[in-house]
Amino acid sequence: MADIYEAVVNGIPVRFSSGEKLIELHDRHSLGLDFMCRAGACGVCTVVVKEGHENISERTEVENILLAMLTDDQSVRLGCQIRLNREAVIESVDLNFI
Amino acid sequence: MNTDSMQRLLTSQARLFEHAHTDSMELKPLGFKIKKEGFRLGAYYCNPDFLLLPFSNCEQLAAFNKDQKSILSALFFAFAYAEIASSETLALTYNIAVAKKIFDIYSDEYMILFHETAEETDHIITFCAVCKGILGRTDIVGPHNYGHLKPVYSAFDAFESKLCKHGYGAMYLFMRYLLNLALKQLESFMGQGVSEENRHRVAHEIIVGHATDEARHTTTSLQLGYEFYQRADKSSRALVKSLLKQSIYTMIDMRFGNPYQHYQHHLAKRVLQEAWKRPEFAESSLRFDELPELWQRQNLIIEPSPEYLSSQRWLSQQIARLLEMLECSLPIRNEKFAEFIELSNSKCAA
Repeated sequence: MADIYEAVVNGIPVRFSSGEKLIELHDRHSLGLDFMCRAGACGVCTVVVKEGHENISERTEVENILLAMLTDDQSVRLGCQIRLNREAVIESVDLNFI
Repeated sequence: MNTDSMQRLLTSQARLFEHAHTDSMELKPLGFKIKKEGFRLGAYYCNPDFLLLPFSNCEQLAAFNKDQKSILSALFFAFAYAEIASSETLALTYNIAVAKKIFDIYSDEYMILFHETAEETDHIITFCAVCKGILGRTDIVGPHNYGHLKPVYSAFDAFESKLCKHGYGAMYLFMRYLLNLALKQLESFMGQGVSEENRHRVAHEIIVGHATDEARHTTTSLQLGYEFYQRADKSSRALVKSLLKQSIYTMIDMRFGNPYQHYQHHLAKRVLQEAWKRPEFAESSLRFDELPELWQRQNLIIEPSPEYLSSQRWLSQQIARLLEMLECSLPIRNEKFAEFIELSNSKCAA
């Protein structure tokens, strides 16, 4: 059985199994995130990882392509791309991509 | 046309397209695998509970075994992609028509829509192969089979002479955006909730691969559509806005409120009707056409799956975004609109 952890997303605590996708957690629990294209092309779902960077999957190539045009801040991620491995604190950030 | 947002769209779409096709992401080989394999009992091609039917309240439906649910999932998968392919057929004609009207041929801007057209061709071939493998036929693909696509075609032709070139481009891309949303409401959610060991691996790869292409297409529809909209003259903008309002009303009407009136319920009934022809359903005590009568007589409620509810919430938020971009509001007409507004505003954990 997968280990269960807790993350705080936009101030909302949510429990998850290690390796779950943030977008799927949002679909189940409505975490106040904003997703449009849902697969790393629109940049609407940008989030900032406030705590627990090391507990989140590495940036994907798609994230590198899109985020390079938006910010140098490595704590900014695309919510649709990340998997949570252990505890983290995440907040939405609007970079006005669309 | 050289604004920051246009430049950013050009750069990101070109890079993402090249990334997607560097390690080939063609879907055709996956479609051909399903065509060759035919139908495989036991595996879930999508989540059967995503079908908008009274599963928990109808005795006959609640008694389905895993093989029967697997058949429903395969048929729904095939019907969903038949419809998606039919809607993509529009893009084959109009992507190029709009690109030619507004951009220099084979310029960087033109190539965005050209690349997407090439991908749509790949998708349609794939989905025809899926339909052949699962349904044994491909003639359900084609816009003539889907009543809700006819007004879209009519609008493209009827409005061409009434709109400036950017207005025409905006109208096309915004209408394409609504079709993108409709297909993503199916595709992004119908596979959720199925465990890895139960799911049909190739079907899952098709869902993920197609969703990746469509993510770019959806982004183009909204961003490029908005870019054109801003460049259109005043009367064209007013006309585009009015057509979109009408289309959004229709979309809300078909996807919110009483689940028995949802488009997805009608799709699920087509799936059930097809399933009823198979030997695995032969022992049912009722004919297919007796089921809807039974649901009505017993006043059975459809309880949508969590995945279906998520899909509605997502859709409502996308429609709300479009309305906001167009500085457009929709008065609440009935309970369907009230539900739409409530879902589009939902931001907190349930």
